[in-house]
Amino acid sequence: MTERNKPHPDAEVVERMERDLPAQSEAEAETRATYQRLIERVGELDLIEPAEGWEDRAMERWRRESGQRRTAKPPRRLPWRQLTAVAALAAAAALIVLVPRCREAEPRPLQVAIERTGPQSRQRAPAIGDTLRVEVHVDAPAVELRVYRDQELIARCPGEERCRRDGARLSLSLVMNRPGTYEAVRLSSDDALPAPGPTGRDVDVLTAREGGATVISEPAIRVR
Amino acid sequence: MHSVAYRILKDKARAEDVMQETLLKAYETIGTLKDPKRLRAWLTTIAHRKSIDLVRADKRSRANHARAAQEPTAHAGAPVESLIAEETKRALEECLEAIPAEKRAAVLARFYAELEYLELAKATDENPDTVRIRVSRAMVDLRECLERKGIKP
Repeated sequence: MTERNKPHPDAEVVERMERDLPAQSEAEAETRATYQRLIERVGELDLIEPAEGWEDRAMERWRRESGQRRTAKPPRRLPWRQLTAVAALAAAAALIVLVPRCREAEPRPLQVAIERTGPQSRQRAPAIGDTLRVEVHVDAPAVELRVYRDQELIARCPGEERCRRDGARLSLSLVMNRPGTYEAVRLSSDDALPAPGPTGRDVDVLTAREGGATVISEPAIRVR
Repeated sequence: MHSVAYRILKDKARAEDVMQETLLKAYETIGTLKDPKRLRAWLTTIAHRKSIDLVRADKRSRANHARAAQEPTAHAGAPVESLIAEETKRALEECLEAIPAEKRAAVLARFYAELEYLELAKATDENPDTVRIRVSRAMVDLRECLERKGIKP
């Protein structure tokens, strides 16, 4: 059974059980008891020990990798810290001047909007032909906007002609011309961001997070 | 940690790699652990994330399943009276192996490693509801698989 298929009625029972909701009937209570036993059986599965000597191998690897880190030349970097400090000071100064005059709302790091450019219909759900408009606030040395469709990268800013930069805003518009699940992701970091890989959104996000980046995304948009 | 990684990856060498990477990562980022009582869950979350990362990045890991299936199981020589329990356990291991890797990982992380849905969602960068649905459907798959083998959970 795939997740896209209609779920088995028991799945709803397990889900309710996992949400700590009370059973709605005696039959549901019986079904729950079966799954409770199954849960216990999973919990009682044997412990699988790693092969003997794993501690030595782990220590060896740790020594090797920490040695590599010590001997590795530090990568050449722009003086981001200093630049950031200067930018922060400038921003603080600007705030002192501007805040008493107007209290503008803090810019949202990622904004996603859909413009109805597709065929008009009574349905409110996004449709093929609608335009996805995404905007990110640039507040770190490295900020990137990526749009994925069904996990696959389909747009990336900066780096494409359709990207627009306006001060601290980076924006992109694209027509959702195929069905699928569209997701906009904003990545930011003090250091260079890892390039997207061929395996798609989840791995890209994990890789970026593991490299210390901050990742923000909006709920995915499903286009049928 | 190792049990979860091994059951997800079905490969002892890769499971040990994951465990080593988890320990290295934990050593480097121990300062980010907010609640020391959740150390076990925290380590398992890292191991789970790394395992899933491998599964997603390398769909070819399916080839390793066959190799892992030939490895001896850890419960040889069990007493006669526990044979039925052992049979159920073995069937459950087989059924876990038969379901898709992401479902298997979700069930193990939830019910074997006892992670909360929020922790699981964070590890896989998904919505907790998505993970809960995956776990529920995986449990139905497991039940059906066991029943096909003539075992009542």
